[in-house]
Amino acid sequence: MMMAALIRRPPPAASAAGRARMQAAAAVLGLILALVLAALWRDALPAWVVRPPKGWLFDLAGPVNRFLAWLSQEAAIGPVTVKGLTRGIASGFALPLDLLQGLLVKGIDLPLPGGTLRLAALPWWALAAAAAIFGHWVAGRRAAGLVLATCGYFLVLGLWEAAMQTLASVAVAVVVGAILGIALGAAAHRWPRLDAGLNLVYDVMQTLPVFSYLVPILLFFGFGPVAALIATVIYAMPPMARNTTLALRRLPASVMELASMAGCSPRQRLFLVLLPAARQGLLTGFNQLVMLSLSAVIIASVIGAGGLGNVVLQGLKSMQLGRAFEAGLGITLMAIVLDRLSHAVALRRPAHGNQRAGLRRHPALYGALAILVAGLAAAQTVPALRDFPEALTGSSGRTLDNFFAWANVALEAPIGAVRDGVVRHLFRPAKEALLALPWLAMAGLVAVLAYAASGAALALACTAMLGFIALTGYWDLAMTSLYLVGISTLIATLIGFPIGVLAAQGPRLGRITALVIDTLQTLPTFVYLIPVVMLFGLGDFPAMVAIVLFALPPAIRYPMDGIARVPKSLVEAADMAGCTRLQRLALVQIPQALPEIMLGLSQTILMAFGMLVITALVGTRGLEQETLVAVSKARVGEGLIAGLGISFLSIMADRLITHGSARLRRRLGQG
Amino acid sequence: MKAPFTGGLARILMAAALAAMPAAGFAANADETIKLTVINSSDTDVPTYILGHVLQKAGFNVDYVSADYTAGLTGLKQGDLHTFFCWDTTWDACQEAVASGSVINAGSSGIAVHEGWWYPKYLEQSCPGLPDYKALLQEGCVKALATAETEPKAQFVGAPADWTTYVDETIDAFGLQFQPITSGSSGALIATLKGAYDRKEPIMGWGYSPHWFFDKADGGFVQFPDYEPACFTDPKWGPVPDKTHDCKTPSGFLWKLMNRDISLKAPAAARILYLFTLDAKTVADGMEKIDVKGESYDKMAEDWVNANESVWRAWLK
Repeated sequence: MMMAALIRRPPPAASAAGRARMQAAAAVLGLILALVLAALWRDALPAWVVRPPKGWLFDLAGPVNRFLAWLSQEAAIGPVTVKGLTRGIASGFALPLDLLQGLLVKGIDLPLPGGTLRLAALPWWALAAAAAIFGHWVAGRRAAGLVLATCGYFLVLGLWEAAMQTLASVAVAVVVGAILGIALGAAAHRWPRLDAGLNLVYDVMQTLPVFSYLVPILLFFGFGPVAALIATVIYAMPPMARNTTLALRRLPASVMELASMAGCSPRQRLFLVLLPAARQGLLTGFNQLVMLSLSAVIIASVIGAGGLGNVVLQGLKSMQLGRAFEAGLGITLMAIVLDRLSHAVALRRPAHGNQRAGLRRHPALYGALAILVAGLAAAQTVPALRDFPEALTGSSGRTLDNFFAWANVALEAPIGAVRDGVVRHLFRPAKEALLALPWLAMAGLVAVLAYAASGAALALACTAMLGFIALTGYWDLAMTSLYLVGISTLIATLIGFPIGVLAAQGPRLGRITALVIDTLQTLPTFVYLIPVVMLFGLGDFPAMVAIVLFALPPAIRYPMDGIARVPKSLVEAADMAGCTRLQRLALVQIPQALPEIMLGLSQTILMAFGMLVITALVGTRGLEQETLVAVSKARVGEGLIAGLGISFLSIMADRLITHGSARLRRRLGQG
Repeated sequence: MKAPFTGGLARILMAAALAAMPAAGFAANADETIKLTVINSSDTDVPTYILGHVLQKAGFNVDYVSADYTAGLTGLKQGDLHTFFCWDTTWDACQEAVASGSVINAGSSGIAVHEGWWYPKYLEQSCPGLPDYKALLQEGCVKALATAETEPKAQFVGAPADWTTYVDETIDAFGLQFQPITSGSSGALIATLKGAYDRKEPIMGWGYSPHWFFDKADGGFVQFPDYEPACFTDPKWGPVPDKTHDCKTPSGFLWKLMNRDISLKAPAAARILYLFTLDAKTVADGMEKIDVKGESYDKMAEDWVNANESVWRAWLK
């Protein structure tokens, strides 16, 4: 205590910190007491306090269904039907997509006067060579090696066609997402009033389960790669837009002034000055865009995107886990390569003062282009040069499946014991307790918390969101979702926090941990879903395992980075004051890293909600199941409303934690 | 169009085709690309690929579009997909597609489907008397099948929530102490059953055939009284006097669906689909090739087409 007081500079802050802690403890105790009482008095309370009576519920799904059916079939703007319009947009997207897919995989049919001319796709060797040269040009030898290794991986495992198909759709999605994101982000920067509204929309876009808008997309844009593209863009675009706004806002005023002095028009100012100056920030957004696009690859293949995602799904359905894992790892590799290359491209400094132009200025680029042209020509004339020799391909076959089959039998006793113990003593009581809570008590509680964390506005917003869930009749399902996410977040934090703290103790440990985390984060969630089900059976426990695996990276990374970023001087001061390692950690590093730790917690919760949606596929029973069934039965309204419920829950959790921790920090004298 | 149509069905089709394409429309047929729905499940994809290869022999371009089973139905209605095999358990969804007017039912594929309460053979030790359903009423049986999540009731691994399996109704009708848990996806359903089967753990769940796991694993289906329509409507019918649904779930065949527009644009393809029939054994053999031997769908279908020329020639005429 003394140590903390010493380091946290002004002495009054110490007593304020102590008071804040006391208050926090009292508040937590009070909350627990209130919840227990509310649950116990459940029977004594009037029924409408426990659950909203039937008469209060309003049927929103029906009207939504009817409206969308009308909109997608009959509605018209003048002579053009809405469906015709959306289908037109779809074919607009289809053009570049078809062209790219044709070039990379399928070949192109050119309609000529004398009949169609079939153009074979680019051969593998030309693409691999060109990509490697490009990689070398932008990012050096190691990147070129990485590109070649990745190409080799796809070729040897016979995944080349699937990989190229995925590459084509991800490339188009990324370009569309980047254009849209930068446009929206720049608009929000220019007209700040737009920003608040857009932010809310992004929140919903990012937290709304993809399943709940798949059906509307199918209705309007048809089935197939284009629909998948649109779903991907909706899912992956928001970080691009947010980061654009953020990056533009962070630019020093002098940049603006420079632009005005140089006499730029608003458009010139944006394109020639602001965006280039902000490219570091744009890059962060772009990186997220690429990663999220790739993580949507599997869901996209549910509505006909094909490619690697489809290989994963096919492998999982026929329990060829090895195949699914190979394709899943392929998606990870592709993500790493794209991330590395896009990073390098964005950070390239333009070569000033270099007078050479064209061919001589960029020999590598033109060389790569020449190889592509030569490859295309060769593929038309010599069919033998088109495909990778089949004799050289292979697969890990059933090795992984056999391993899981072995683990399943060999580890039965310990796995079963842990599972049953956790389910009996943690899951079932927690679920029953949460479901026993009267909805009014819960809503009131959240409102009080929100008021304490931020003020009346947040309290009102939270009440409105919870009221929406209750009055649309999804309260029980929402609590089922909440209990699973809550427990999973708790477990992820309990595992992730110590690992993060430990990894922060040495730079090498930190690097290894970061590598493992990155791989875990880009590995498609579906890949580990089925092995988990095989080992743990069906239901909430395997879902929890999957959620924890998925939500673990931020739970590790944020504490790790936070502690590593604590100023050296503070750490040295602690050492000089004679702290033991443990004291230094507990009294200096962790309190100093609290903002990052709290941010990590809110990220963990968001990831947990993201994975929750996927766990519907292994039989969880909350709102997420409703969105999944809605896809299957094409019940648009129910899917959207249940999806909004999940979206609201995660937005609330995020806001409560962010505002709560900001308030806590101010009280602790850190803000 | 190579040959004139014969048969009543074909005549109706031809009339429809003529109405849609007044003059010299026939020549364009073979240019049509037929988009077949592939659902990544060998039970349904084997007949789909065989159909695709037959259509290719008839001069059509075919495209195998990978889709989620039920999302595929939406695609079929919209005309983004052209053919579809429908399971009896999703009859409601298929019926709804047909009722929308943009999908036609081209009849049974001849592939018999068996669905119901599946259990592994070794369960008979805990539940003596199986396959008779009365075995499920014993306390020991319920206890053996109970899990931490469902106890004191027995666990029943249910099908994904969008399949119509009447499990809740069956449980209620017979007063079984079972709690069904939904499996969310067919992949998870199989993984759960196979995981428990490999561990030799008591398990019971929704099973269906043809399917590589249920056809290969040593198990059986619980025998409930045979289905009759009256069972679902008349409480007096069957062993339980005051409940409906005291019988099996009706199961029959894989049904062939087709988008209406494409059937008008390519009547020859529609004719092939109408006539297309396979038996369950052909499908089981095909699935064996895919799932066990690791052959490609294209090779499997090509082999079938080469070996059964007389069969599919008859559909082309």
